[in-house]
Amino acid sequence: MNKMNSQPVFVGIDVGASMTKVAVIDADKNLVGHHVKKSGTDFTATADFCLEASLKMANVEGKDIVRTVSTGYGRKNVPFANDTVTEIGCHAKGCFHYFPIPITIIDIGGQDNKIIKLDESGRRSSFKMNRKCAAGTGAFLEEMSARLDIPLEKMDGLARQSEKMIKLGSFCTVFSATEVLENIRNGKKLPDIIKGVFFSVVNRIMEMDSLTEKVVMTGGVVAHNPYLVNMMEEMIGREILVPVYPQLSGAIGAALHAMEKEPINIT
Amino acid sequence: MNNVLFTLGIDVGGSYIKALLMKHSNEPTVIDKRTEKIRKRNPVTVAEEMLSLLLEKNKLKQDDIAYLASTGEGEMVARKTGHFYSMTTHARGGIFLNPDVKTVVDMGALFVRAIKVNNLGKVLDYKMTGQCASGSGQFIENITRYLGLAVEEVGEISLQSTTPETPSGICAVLAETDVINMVSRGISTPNIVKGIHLSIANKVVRLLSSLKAESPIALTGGMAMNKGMVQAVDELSKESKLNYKFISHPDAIYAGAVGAALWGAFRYKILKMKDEKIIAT
Repeated sequence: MNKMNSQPVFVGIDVGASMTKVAVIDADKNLVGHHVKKSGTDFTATADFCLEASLKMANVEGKDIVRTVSTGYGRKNVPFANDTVTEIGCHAKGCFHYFPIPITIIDIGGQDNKIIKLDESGRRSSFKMNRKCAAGTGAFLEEMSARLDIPLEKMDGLARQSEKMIKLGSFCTVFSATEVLENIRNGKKLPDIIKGVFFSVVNRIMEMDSLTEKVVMTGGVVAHNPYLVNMMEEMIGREILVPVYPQLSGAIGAALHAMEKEPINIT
Repeated sequence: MNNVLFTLGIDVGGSYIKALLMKHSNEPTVIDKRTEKIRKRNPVTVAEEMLSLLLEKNKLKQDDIAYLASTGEGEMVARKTGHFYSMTTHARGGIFLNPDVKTVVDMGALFVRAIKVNNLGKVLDYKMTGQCASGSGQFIENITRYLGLAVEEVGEISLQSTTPETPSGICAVLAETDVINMVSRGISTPNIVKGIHLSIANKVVRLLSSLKAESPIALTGGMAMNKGMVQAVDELSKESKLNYKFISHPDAIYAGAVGAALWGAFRYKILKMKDEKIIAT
């Protein structure tokens, strides 16, 4: 029953500041295993755990791994990785794999935002990143959900119920938290407040860079709050592409990098 | 008796409310004062309670107060006589507490403002932070929450630091991750706390240098009560060769309320003079 289907696999590990993502792909670039877990304080232990879980899902063993590439904020904390690649390189590769056209990637992560532009051959033509400020990132939404005392996973559904959005006066997370509490005190409706919070995220991204070509949105925040994509579509008046696993695009990119480095000859 | 009058200044800030009772005879003197953390309460009710307590304790009635001046977010205080803008009250209060200064820096819960003043407390120029909490007292409050400390003790803790560890970013929210990582790396609490103080102080010093501030500089507002903050600002100013000379009064947190009480007395006298003129004609 528990028979391993021994086959060569490639592993990508994306250790983000808030979440660790692992993707396992087979020789045909199919995603066969994956796992996501909060990075916590011990990055190495979390990476180990996620790898175990992903291998189990892929039904393979450690010895089947041809090569492992790590990426992300904590990429240096993965002792079993053969290589590290920057997160920009991995996100670009992961997205281009699904959408091999000129694209603008918006990645909304736990603690940073990236806008990466790729040309028709998947080469990077421009890149912007925000690392100094929590505005518009997952940390912003987390802080708001904590202040509002609403589980993070309920935010998306509530925002959708809004009829009249209440815009926030400041982009700063700390000031927004105060403002949000004030709105509650003044009897404003929760969905309207939350939609305003979402709008702040969308607005912050719009300020970062122009959104040309086809737009792709990725990252954990997008995975859990798909309404953000709808709001962004409304803002730019175009359809936005989202990969099947938006949170895994960095990890999949890392796995693809691993494969490129050590292609196996299938005879 | 006719020459003696009382005024009240109330400064409603982002985190604390400061109320202060002043007596004006020959020289204005501070009679009594109170601070209260707003927490999650309604600032209007907190302010009302504080004013009632101050009056009661000093055996005064509302009618004995010539002018009740509000400042900060104090426009909502119901029984105020009038409201004064924070910039003018902090300048006036800063000069009253520290007579010879050329610049007053109000380091509050939500933002920092640096004000150039003349010897009468007139505002000559100013600059303030506002878009971001990275230079605000709220940052310190967040950090104390993560580390399980009291706001009152962080200053002393910061003074114990030997090798401060500065966070990589400057964002008050992202610093949380940095702090968690520092704790797990075994960095001591004083070194973490000092690093945060330096990060905020950096904002303050940059604001001062962009204003082309002149020494001596009075540090006021809630963060000026924090010895670690004063030390951090001083260190950075020396490090960047600006060599500002800082002064911090024990009542620094009351600067806005003092200024309001002084401006209140001033306006009362002007109004009275006008009334007398009207009666005379």
